[in-house]
Amino acid sequence: MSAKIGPRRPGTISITDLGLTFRSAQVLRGIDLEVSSGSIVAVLGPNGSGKTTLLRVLAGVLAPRWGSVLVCDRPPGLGLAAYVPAGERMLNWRLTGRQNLEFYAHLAGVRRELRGGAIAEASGLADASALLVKRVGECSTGERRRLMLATALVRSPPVILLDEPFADLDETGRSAVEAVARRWADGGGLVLHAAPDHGKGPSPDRVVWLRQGRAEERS
Amino acid sequence: MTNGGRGVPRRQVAWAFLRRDLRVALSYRFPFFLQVLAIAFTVVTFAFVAELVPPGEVPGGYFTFAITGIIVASFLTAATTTLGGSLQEEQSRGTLEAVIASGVPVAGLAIGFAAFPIVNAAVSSVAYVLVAALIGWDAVASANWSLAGVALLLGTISFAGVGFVGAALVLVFRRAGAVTGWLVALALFLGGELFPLSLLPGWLQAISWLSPFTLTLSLIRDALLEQRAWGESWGALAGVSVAAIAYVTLGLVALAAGLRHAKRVGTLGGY
Repeated sequence: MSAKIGPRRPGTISITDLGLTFRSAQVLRGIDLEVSSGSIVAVLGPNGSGKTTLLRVLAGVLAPRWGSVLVCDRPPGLGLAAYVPAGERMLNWRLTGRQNLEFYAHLAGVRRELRGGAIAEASGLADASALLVKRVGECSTGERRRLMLATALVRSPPVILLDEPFADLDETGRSAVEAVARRWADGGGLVLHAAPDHGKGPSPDRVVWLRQGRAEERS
Repeated sequence: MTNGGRGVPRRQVAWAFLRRDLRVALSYRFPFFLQVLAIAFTVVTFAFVAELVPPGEVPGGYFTFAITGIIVASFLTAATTTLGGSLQEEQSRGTLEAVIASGVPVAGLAIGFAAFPIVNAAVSSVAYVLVAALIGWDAVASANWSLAGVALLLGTISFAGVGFVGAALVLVFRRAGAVTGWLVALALFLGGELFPLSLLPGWLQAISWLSPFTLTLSLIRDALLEQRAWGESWGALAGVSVAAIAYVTLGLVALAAGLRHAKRVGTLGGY
């Protein structure tokens, strides 16, 4: 049986009046955003504008103080959005690329007979096939970023959240991210990425600017 | 192809964690070797200590009495301090956020974190018994092994409940391992890991029965060292069962609250 990874259902995001505070600091305020399936959305803004916080809310690892957030019409944190954080902290460095992918595929309920194929396809799309046998601790930063992307893809999520998607990647890596994002959007999924500026992530269909926790849409 | 972590059976989540944690443990070969060595030294030490205790002082002889206590204690430690430590390690590696984002529910997460430490304790127990047998320990042939096994299983569920509370404390206070470690030390002391409970003052003995460790170890020693039959043990078994249900429920509620708190203040990936 061969695996075919891709968004397993249409990916949508619906945010209404989202607000979030850390202690007394208001990080996000009154954000409204509706994104339908088949889109690539770039969330841009200077450092500290709330981009990563917004992605973490959508991933379900951070709870909003007020407002409503829905991913595929469900609350976040139900496995419908795969989150690739900035940096390298997502994988177990003692394990190989394949062992890391197997763990997340297993958690996502990828059936045993499909797991091998899904891992091969996800790593191929992320240009990380050669890294499957390598221990993550022995990989370079860019190689780890590719494996992190593959880890997200292997679960076939409807929504992919990428924080600083081009950081630490060479041209081949950036092309792989660009191709994956387009393939996901064409397949009915949704890719939302955060970057400080234009050109630091896959070409978007929509751009949302965050400034001091407020969102404004620009073409 | 997938349904996200939310609909995945808990045993599959447990297996995913178990396999991953086993692979990580095996990748550190030296500590693994040291663990086996430590077990051998412990058993030999207590074989010598047992020579100092006259026969008949404790049921089954001191060596068997102590080894039983040490084995049950290893399950308590695994399900409490090791579990909290695993969660803290998961936070510092940054994998906790990724696991939570996969949609694994609280119960699945709890079982997943507890799986490897408990299996590791079970393997260690076999190693204790094998080393003891190698130096001439004659395992009690007429012991009620099935009753002891059921008691250990129920006791481990209680211990895991305490471990989930410890994990919740780690989520709320970060470095809360010392609290769990202190509670374990207290439970081992009050539960009579290495000495009979009758040596404690009466009021301490009364308090000690609140601990799942005391209830479990007492029932296991009754089954192994005094060949207690099932019919004579229903009361004690009911006590251990009630403790298992109460502690695991409390632990899951605490862990869910700890996760909610960490999501609210944004410390899930912090350490």
